[in-house]
Amino acid sequence: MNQTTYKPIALIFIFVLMVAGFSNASEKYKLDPDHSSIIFKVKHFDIGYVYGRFNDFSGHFVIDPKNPTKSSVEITVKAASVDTNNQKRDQHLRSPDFLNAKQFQLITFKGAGVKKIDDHTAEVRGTLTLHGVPKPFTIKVERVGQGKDPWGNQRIGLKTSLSIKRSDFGINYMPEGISDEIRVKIATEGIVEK
Amino acid sequence: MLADTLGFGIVLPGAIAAVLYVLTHKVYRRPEKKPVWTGAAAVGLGFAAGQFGLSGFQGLLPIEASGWLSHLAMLSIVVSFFYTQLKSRTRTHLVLRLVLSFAVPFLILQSMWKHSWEPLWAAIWIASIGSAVFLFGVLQTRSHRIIPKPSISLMQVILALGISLTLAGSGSMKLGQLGGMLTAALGVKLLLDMFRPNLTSNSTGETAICNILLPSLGLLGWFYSELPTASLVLLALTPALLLLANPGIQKISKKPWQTLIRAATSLTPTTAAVLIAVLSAPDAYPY
Repeated sequence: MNQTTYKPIALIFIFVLMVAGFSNASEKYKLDPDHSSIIFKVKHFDIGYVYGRFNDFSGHFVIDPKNPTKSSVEITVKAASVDTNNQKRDQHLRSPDFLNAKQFQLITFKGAGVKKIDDHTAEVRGTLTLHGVPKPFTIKVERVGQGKDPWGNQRIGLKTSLSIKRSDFGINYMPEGISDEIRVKIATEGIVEK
Repeated sequence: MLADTLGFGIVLPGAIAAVLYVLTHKVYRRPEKKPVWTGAAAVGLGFAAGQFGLSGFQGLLPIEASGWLSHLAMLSIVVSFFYTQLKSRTRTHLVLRLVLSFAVPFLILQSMWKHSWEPLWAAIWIASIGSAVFLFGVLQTRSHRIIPKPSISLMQVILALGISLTLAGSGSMKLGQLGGMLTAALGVKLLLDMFRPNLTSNSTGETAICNILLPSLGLLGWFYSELPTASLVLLALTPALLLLANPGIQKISKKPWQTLIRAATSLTPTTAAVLIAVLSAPDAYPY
């Protein structure tokens, strides 16, 4: 076998090794809803804050430390799972006055453009769809911790804070009683998908 | 908030309707000369102006289902215009009304047939609801033909006010406001019928708008809010009750009594619908 014959084979072999290397570098995590929270606060009559949370959500994220641009995040929240510790208020929040949860059942964030800021922080650019309105949105995600749990699952903890103007998404009802700005905190654990 | 609700929800639709009735009167002096579409335009544009004032322009393809209401009102005006202009009215108008009746569930329930229903179920739902909307329109149109002018306007105001209060009572103030806008525009027609009857014609145009907007509001409330089924059924049956009661009412010699009994015939199911909605809704909570 002369040099010209085995050169392409060697190149293919190197390419396969590189792809395998990248594959190992990126890990796909499934969001663990039992160890994740999505909470929010709104200002009430410009006097105080009312807190609420969403109880039903799912998601997954791909983390590629070597090539952050290949990382991605996808979170889906069921709008009807809004919970402010007041059933009557929650029913009103689900109505067409606010979230219109029967028409727009899901709130989603799909992020693909990931930019590493430092070893613990990354900026994720994506699309937030709330009340049926998709908007470009950037969130800063911080890694809280990483490691194996007692059952051998590889876990990662992430958190982020974001501020949403509800009027940008067509939720305009009762502007004098409920602030336009909604502050959201997401703390999530992900488990490596096997 | 209250100023917006009153200004855009009541004053603006009423004012637009009043201006259009006066302008129509300037052009067509005699009530019988006024084209059908002018009545539809007065109520439909009044409603659309109110919705624009409260919620802004919803876009050509609105994302929120309630955004289609103004578009449907505009389509009703166009159908009424063609009804006035076309020579072969009956068949063409029937086809246009059928198309409009099926457009109501198709547009209002987009998120349901796109995301929640299987294709077969979507077809069954749209066909059933479209037929019900058409039937409601037929009953309304028939009742307006046999009931005299101020009475039919009163019936329409009672029905629009009823659906507005039912929607507000069943959990959505926003949908209630939309019903309020229709009530305000129809209220102007009622006042003119009572005090300046030469300014208005028969209620064919206004009925065309009611035939589309009332079922649309009902669908929004039932599918996306908490409008009870019993309330929806009672409101939908009101025109049929009026038709059923009419032969008996016409035997009464005094006209004021006729109007009073017609009003009671509309008010009874409408009031029951409102009460059911209010009683089955959760109590108000302190904001």
